[in-house]
Amino acid sequence: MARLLINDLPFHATEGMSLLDAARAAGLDVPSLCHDRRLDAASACRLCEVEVKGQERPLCACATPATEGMEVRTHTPELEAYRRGVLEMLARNYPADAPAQIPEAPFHRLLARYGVEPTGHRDPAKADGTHPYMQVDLSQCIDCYRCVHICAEVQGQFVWKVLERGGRTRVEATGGSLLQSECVSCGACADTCPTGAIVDRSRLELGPAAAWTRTVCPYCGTGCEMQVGVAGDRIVAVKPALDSPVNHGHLCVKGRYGTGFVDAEDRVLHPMVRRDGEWVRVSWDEALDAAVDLLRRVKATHGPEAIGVLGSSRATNEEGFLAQKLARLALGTGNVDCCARVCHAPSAAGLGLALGTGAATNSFADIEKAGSLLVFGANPTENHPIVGTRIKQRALRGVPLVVVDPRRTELARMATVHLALKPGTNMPLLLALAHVIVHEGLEDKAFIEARTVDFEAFAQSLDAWPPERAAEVCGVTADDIRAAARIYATAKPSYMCHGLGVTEHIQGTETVTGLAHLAMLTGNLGVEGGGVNPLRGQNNVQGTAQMGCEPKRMTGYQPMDKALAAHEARWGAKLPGPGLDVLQMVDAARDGHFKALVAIGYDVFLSNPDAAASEAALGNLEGLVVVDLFMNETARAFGTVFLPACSSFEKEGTFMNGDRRVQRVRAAVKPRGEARSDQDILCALGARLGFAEAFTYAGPSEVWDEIRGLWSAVAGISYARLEEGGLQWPCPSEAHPGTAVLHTDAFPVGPRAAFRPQAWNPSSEFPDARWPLQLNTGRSLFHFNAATMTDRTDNALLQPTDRLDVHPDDALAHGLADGDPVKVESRHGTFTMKTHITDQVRPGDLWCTFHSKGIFVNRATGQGRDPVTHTPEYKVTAVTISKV
Amino acid sequence: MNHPQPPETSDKPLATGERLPKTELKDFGPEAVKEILAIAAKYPDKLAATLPALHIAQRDFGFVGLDAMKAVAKALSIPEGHVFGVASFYSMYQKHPVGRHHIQVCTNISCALRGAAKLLEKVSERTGVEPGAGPSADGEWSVEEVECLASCGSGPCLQVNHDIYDEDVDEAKLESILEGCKRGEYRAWAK
Amino acid sequence: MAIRTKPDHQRYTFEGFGSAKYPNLMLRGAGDLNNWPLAVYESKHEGYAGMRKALQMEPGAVIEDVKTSGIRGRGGAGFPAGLKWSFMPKDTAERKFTRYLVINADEGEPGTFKDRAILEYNPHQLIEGCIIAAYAMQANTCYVYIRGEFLWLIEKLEAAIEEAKAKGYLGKDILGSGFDLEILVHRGAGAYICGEETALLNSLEGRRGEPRVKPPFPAAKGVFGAPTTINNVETIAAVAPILRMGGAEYAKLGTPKNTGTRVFCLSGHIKRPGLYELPLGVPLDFILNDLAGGSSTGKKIKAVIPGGASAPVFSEKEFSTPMDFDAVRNAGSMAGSGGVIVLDEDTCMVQACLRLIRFYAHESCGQCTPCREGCNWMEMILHRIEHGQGRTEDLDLLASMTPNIAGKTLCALGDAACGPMDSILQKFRHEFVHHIEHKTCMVSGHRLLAHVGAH
Repeated sequence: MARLLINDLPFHATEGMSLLDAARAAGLDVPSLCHDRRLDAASACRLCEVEVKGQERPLCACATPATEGMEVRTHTPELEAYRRGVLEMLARNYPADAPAQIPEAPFHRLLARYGVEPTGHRDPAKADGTHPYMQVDLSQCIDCYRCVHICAEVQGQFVWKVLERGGRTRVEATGGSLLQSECVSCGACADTCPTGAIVDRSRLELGPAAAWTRTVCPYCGTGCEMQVGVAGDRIVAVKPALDSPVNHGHLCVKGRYGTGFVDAEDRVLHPMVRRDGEWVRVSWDEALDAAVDLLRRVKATHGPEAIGVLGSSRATNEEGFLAQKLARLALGTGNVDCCARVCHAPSAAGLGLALGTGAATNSFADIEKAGSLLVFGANPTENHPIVGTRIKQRALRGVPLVVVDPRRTELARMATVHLALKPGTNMPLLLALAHVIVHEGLEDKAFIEARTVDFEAFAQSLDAWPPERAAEVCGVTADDIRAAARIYATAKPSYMCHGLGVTEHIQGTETVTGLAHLAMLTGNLGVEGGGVNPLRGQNNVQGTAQMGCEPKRMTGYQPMDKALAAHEARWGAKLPGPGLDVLQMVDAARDGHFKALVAIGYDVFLSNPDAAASEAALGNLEGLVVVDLFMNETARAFGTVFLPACSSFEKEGTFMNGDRRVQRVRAAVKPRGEARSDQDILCALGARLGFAEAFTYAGPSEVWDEIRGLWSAVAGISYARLEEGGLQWPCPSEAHPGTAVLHTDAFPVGPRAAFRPQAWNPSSEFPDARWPLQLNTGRSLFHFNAATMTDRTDNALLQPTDRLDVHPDDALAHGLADGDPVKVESRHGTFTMKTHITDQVRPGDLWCTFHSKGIFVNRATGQGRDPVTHTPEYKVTAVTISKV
Repeated sequence: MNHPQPPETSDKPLATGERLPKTELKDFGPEAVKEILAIAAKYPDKLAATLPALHIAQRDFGFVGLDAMKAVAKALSIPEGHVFGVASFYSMYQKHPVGRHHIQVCTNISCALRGAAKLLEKVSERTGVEPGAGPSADGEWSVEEVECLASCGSGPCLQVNHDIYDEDVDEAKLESILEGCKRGEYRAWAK
Repeated sequence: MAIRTKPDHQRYTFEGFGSAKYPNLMLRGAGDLNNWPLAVYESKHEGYAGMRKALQMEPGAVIEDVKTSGIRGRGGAGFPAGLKWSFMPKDTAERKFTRYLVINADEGEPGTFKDRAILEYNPHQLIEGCIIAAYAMQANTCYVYIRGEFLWLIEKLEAAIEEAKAKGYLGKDILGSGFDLEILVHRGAGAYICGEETALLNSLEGRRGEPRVKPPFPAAKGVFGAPTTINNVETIAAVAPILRMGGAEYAKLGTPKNTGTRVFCLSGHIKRPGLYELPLGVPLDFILNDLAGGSSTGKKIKAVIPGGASAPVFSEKEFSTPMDFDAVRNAGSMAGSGGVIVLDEDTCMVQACLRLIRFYAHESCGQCTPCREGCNWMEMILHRIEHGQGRTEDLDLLASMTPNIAGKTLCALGDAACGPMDSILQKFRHEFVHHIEHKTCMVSGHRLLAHVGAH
């Protein structure tokens, strides 16, 4: 705390405040063009100079710490004349017509405020219109370098660079144009640019925002907070929330630019039912009646166990809760699930079994506190870009990074050790890492003694996996395994995160347990900068599973035996026991025992593996109610009732991100057409099914309050508190600040966590003579899962179609050239896509995204499942390829 | 930014979008990469080898064009944009081809007071190339106006390639320098 | 490798140089191309005696001795060197620091050519100074940043470093003191701004030579994030005689607050240009007329730039100024790097001014607005005045611009440009007015710029 005088008025500056921060906090508009709170002080535009008593010359406020006793003057006539002089220097060659185009740009506002008229011209050669989201006109560049700094220091991409010096200094994109550069389209440069040099195209085409709404990104599980700018009920801009603890004022291409789906032409805007094979537009009453008729009929003839509900990982916590309430209370079925089944169910199960809480043990903020980083089976720079950039920034600053990934991903390229293992060999690798740690005496003996049991048996079981054996099985070197183990065990605290490369295997849950073992061995639990942290895939996949869209778990992911009675008491009805998960529902449909499905925001047909099997099974249904924004593949093929839903930009509620943070989702625009929120739809269905009272709420906050009553870990999180920002559960009381790090003293499973000997179970999809290659699938930066949303944005221009990554050796062996169409065939089916020759994949491995419905990659994936959670083995499929 | 180009500078800036000239050599040979990595190993951060690597690039490629900059980025595994920014900052890295004898004439104040302007004109006349205009048709000469070389007491002075300066250069001395160039007495510009 | 040599044309001595009144501390053997090897330095110039003495002392005592000597930095700012050294953090029980010593051999201030002579003739004196300074600050790595054009001097310094290594003066456990030091030479690539110490650090790290925001100061966070002290070649080379003779003895030279000798570099219209090592405080006119023989052209001396191109010019009435940091400052200029540039009465001051401003516009790093835009703009205006297209309001425009540049920029380059600009405009305004009114030059003498139309 420092007391100073600013323009004769006392001001109390907090620790670390600069004079610029202080002056602005005191309400003084000290001008600056190079300052951005996300960046170090640049002290370059020199507009923020202020007079400080006792100093011979003015000081740059952005670079001067506010200290005790300073007497500062911010707007003396001399300073104001000087500022005008600097602006005149900049205006001399600045395009005269630019300010009128974007009057709110900071530089343009300053020119107006100081009455300085620019007198230059635009140079068409300096414009770059190649990028679908950003328009570049470097005639309007004032060399503040903010784009250069933010690209390097926040995104870590180094696209913008400064060339030359002196009067010739200029900023340019490496590669000439943005589209030709390494640009990842995060838009940070356009966000920070104080002029019209780099500007969102939407600003030029749709005009400025009239109002801003703070909400949470609808894409991945990072949970970035953003400000949505609206004009005329249309989203015209998205900016990151500068004070968000999750994204620190940064967004990725999907979050910042991927809103076009809201007003996509093919969005379904009215309810429909299928009559004689054709979709027919009907009223909401007719559609709801049709849905309820179907559900009642099936329940009456086949029993409630023939009905299932799939909650949406895209919807809010409140809606996830209502989905399971609809299933369990109104339909009397335990068959309720969500898409966590096909992604991180093993993380929840594995961590739940080992430690007691099926969620990330630590926070994203721990990335900056870690002494080393271990990224296991995840590609965060593409799939969780904000987490990815935070890891990247640490690696750029020299923090040791270990990446376990079959592919040479961006992080793998900058890793200290990259273990490019063969897909399907996670277990041997993990056991060998543990082997090295134990055999080299690097384990945390005090932690093991105090916080764990059964270490001895576990340690002995590791004898089976010396690094040399694992090296052979995994296709990596024993030295690299040792190096990785040493980094993880010694450069503590060690932050570990993992993705679907861990879970989407037949040993998914077992592997997550193995990760927990590694953290237990090294004492990386219950400490800042450590932990086991699943990177959750979808915006609210953590929340929807946590809300009880899980056939064996109730609200709060509580086991049935513990929570069923409380739910029955609260809802005043007998509830069913455990039900079927989504894969079992499809199996049961195949066998004729399952007849009706309510699929909320979940394209089960396109997403599930072995599409041929799904196709046969779903064809057996009597009816399928789809709640979605778009006519997805499930609806197109099998839907009988279509209920149009709102996007998250059109409703209120909460999301829960990958670090257990509950954050407010707010409506920025009105619902489109006749679309309704899932909450309205679910309540209407519940009421029509005879539970009007149980499905009547004044709004989402009342639903949330019911959740708080059923799950003590969020009892302290109220909507009122969420206005101040997100809260991480457990947060048992309103006075509780929330929990950033789990398991600091004990584990929910008990005071000590147990080690358990583990073994490897090889996949039946490993290559053989008939199926010599191994296919692996994943996501890319520009698209999201089934591309339901991103394919309806200009991201489709940045990455038009899926491509099959083939190693040059395999391309040569199969006579493939880059871009050649190639047929991929497995035991289960085939698909065709274009070849992309790259040495990012291992020889013998193939990799592709599964975004495009036209290609339908899941026709080829198999039936392998994790025995605990039934999560499919998307990551290993034996295939053969041939040139088309 | 639209800086009007200062009217009298001799080194040619690139217009936006203008491409640097191509070189025949596209990448460093293995020896040069080894040399660069050995230099990088001497510093706590390999980035520090950027300037030395660019000097090696100039030696091997003849000038620091786009390919040379990319080769430096690749050899050191650093972003290309960083190398472009650095290479364009320092005036000794030639972005365009130069002659086998690159004559750099100091025209700063002390040398100017002692006749640098006349010397520059004379050099230009005798070699047949304008300052900053690129090499002569036979590839033998190029001339550049440079800032102070720290030879102020004995100006006007010039530097041929990377060799020791020639000082108090009058017309007679210039003739002997040009003769010396033809006889191969000066350190070579590039490999 | 054979060391390439070529006789240079500088003068290094004057009558009486080497006497008790004008002791030779910095230029021993200068002019003799065979003076540089270690054997010569040790046998003829008391070489490495200062180092031997220092290594017997506590590091803190070495700093004290340098403080006692009163030596002020010879690079330009004139900051007391011993005090600068004392800012370096000391190791504590909790924290051991990696510290660096960096030598600024990026000699580029127009009018200055002293460091080049030290590197050419006495590289071992610099090495000895480095060892003493590094020992005093307990830095185990020293980088010498040398301007890129000095390639032959880089090779010579590297050869000298090898000699010192072979003798056990560098490397591990120097002369059994337990102190280790490695000296690495880093070649610059043509950027005047890299003479600014934080720009030099960025350049050393492989970045664009852009000055850094201060704080943090280099002593807290310098090169590679570690505490760093940067000293000029002449300052560090002077440390060898300081230790040898003792700080108190050195302090007797010069004046009480401006102790010791410094090497003045005389250039321009002067009869005997060259290097003059003199105790601080000798009057300028004594140097010009009594030592250097006055004007070389027979014309009157009109102006003198007393401390390198960045220093405001002196006109006749300031010629009697004693040449020390404080007196020159009090006379409205700065002692800077010791470069004394003499301009006779036939010199067009508009051209001189344009030549200087063009240099700063060319050398501005470009990151801060007033310097980048201002220098460029001043150059444009001066160019049009020089070319007979000046406007009446141009002089007021120029005068109104310098307050927006001087004292407002991130580093001192803005000040450096404004010093000559302001002083020339103020003292020789009539020449500018003549240019504007008559579209031609007042004097018809020396042409400073090639391709100039007005002359």
